[in-house]
Amino acid sequence: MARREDARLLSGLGRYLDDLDPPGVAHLAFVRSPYARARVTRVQAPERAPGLVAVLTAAELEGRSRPLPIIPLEGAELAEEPHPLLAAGEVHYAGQPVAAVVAESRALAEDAAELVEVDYEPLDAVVDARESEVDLLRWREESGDVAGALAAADVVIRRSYSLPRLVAAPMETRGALASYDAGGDLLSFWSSAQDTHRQLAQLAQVLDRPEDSIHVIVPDVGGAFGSKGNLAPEAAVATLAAIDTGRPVKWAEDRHENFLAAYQGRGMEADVELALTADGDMTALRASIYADLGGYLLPSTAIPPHTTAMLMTGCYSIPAAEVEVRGRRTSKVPTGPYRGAGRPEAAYFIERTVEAAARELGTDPVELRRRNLIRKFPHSTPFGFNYDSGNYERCLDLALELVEPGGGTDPERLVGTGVGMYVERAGGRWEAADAAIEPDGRVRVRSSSSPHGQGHDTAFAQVAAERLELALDDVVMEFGDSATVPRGVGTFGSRSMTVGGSAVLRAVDELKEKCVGAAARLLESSEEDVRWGRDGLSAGDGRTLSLRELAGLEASARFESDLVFAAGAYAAVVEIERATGRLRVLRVAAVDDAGRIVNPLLAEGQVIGGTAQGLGECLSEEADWDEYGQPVTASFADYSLLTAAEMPQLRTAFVESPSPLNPLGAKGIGEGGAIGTPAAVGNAVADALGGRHVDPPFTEEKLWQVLQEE
Amino acid sequence: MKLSNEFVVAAPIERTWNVLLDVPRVARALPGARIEADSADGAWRGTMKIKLGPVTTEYAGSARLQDVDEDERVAGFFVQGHEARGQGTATATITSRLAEADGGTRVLVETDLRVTGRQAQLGRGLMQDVAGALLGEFSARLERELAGEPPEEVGEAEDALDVGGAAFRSLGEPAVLLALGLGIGLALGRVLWGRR
Repeated sequence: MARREDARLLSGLGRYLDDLDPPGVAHLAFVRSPYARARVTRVQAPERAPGLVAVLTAAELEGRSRPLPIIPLEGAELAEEPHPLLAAGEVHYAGQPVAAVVAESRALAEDAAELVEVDYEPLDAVVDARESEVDLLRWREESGDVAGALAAADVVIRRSYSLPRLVAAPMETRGALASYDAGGDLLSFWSSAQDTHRQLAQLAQVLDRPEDSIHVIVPDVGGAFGSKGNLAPEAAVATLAAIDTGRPVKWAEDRHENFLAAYQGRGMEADVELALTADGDMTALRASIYADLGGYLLPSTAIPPHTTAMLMTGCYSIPAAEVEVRGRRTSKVPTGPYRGAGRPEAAYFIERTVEAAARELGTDPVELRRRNLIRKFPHSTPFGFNYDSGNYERCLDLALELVEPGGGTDPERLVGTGVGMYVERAGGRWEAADAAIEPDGRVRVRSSSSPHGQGHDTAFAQVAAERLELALDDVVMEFGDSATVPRGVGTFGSRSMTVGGSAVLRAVDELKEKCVGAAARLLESSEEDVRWGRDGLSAGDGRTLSLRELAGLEASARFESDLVFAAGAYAAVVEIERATGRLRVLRVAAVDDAGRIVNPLLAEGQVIGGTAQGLGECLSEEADWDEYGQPVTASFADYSLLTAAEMPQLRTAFVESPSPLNPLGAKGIGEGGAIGTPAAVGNAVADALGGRHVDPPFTEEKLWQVLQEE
Repeated sequence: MKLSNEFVVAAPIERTWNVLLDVPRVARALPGARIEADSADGAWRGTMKIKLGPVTTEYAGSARLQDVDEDERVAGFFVQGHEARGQGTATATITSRLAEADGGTRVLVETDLRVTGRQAQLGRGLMQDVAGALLGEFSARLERELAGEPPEEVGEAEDALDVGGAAFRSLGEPAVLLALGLGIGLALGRVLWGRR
């Protein structure tokens, strides 16, 4: 079933943040630090400038705002280094907001921002996480006798890996619009965000205002990939500017700002040790992870490295494990969740190590995997994750079948095949939904889970329509307005269908039950005799009632569950041109087990999109800084996204192991492509290179260098 | 970022050396550069205007002589500047060496450039190319200066290093911004290079 929202979005009828232009709106631009690390000694606003409305500095915000909150993480030590709205004292990354300028237009605001004088005393920037002496995050967990197993092992594989930072690069950049009604003390806040809930909670904390004095609206959103989950510091400044000026204030960032100041993903290094018996049984895993967290802890900065650590044993039954995470402060924009958010790192680290082990043992890497795959569910991992269901071997078999390993006879081209398996933590926590019968007989569903490109409007309506035996168009979905939709947790972590969809299902079940009860009364029948059908409700005596006659009935439901664990196997065939080092990914097979699939078209769309992003990570994407901490990949001229021309042949398949934890049996499909692809392509590259090690992106330069070592 | 450039001027080494240390003359060879008449505590102040297509940006800065080796014909300078309007900055350590070459003088310039702000962040890949264009224009003007030809008369308002036209249109904004960054590091450095 095709996405019903596309006709509107693709014909330009969507309403995105920057489309909102209320009367009297003023525009916000930021003075951003040109230095990666410096002491700010003076900020001097211009006395006048064309169209200038106001200038805000840290001094103006003092005492009336707090830095962004840091979400506590169980078992982790987190430094008290939250992101300030505007820098006071020190700046910790190039691009950090130092002052905000409100003017009559964005252009005038930018011009006036150029007139703000800031004195900096540059300090030495820290670019390398391993060299940083400041931990923002520390986490360590050990289970089983790791040291003993390593000492007793026949073979111990030791490898080090590095995954660069990536830019989420949503088509629509970040932005917010704030408007304050002093009379009613109501702050209205439109944000290009993943959901209303985290914007509301974080804004309430930053402004120290009760949540019911803030109305959050998320309009159409042109993508986020994780990067719009947290409240942007700039968006919080917009609310204060609106309160100060009494005018609506809009901040719609440009692409350069997005490159500089939107939080990034990945940026993790790991030293991994895997102990095995001579027969190939995995006995222990030990890993040290270094995460380049940047200048501050944003609310969810600590989450991806923690997820990596928790998933380091992957889809294997490894009895003992020890993982330590050091999240280091560097002079860069903070990191946070980006599609996969810790899972691609875990899959890459363990899967590359497994293939290295197979090479060392002289066995087939696929056979080594089979020998160690988890086969019984539920399965409790050494660190306490409970894998709910799965069929990992079936995924592996299908991936190999689809990818057609090997091929190529040209001696000038090295061909390699690689596999990457993954387990994805998804779902968890709760969402809510309200369902009501409209006067025209349609069913309106208000979901706490809101879309930013995923297709909720179609998929959730499908869940409701199927359950109620209605046509899809008889279900109206509503999202993204804190005044009308129920509270929830948010759209992230491949949890929408699993948790939000289940809440929708529960709500319509509840509604159906109420309808049946009401119909029984109105038709003077017993509830058991009332039948629910496509054309309404009917009693045993043939009398019927349309839904229109039940208008006004409504029901609410909340659904909560433990984490679910999706999984998958990816396989890739690559070819490296010996003379130039040029890599071509020839074929990718993507097999995902996301439990029961509600809408195969949308699910496959998620896989294709995630795979494209995973391939971008393999082929070209890398955020980079010079030795002084200046970002040197701050435009699409220097940061290359994958284009359609580089997209290889992609074959997809689903294995459906229903989750026992929700009524849909769903798991999560939003991130699989981004998780499995880098591991599979990395292993294919290593295979082509006879086991020599290269980390992504697999550029011509790097591969050519390695080929020269022959 | 470390940049290396070289060019040859048709003048003997002694004369080239003297001209290069004579700031007003060097400034005349640099498109868009102006310097103040006097130094303060060994720091020379100046500005440089660079025009890339439709964008003209002015930089203000100062330079300090770090070492001058008469015998080896090597001079080092520390240059710093900031956008006259905007938040970007640039510092450069510039070491220039002269050597005799076929009756002329070969000038080898090594620049360690540290640029912040937009210029550093955009269009980095083109920096070498823009440096080439900049030095090409500079050496041509310098050669005329050394040959004793009068400089082309240009009004102050119009004079600016113009890396515009076709190059700008094909390279787009990143190139513009990058050239601005480079301009301050190399060209402004050059302006002040000779002054003592």
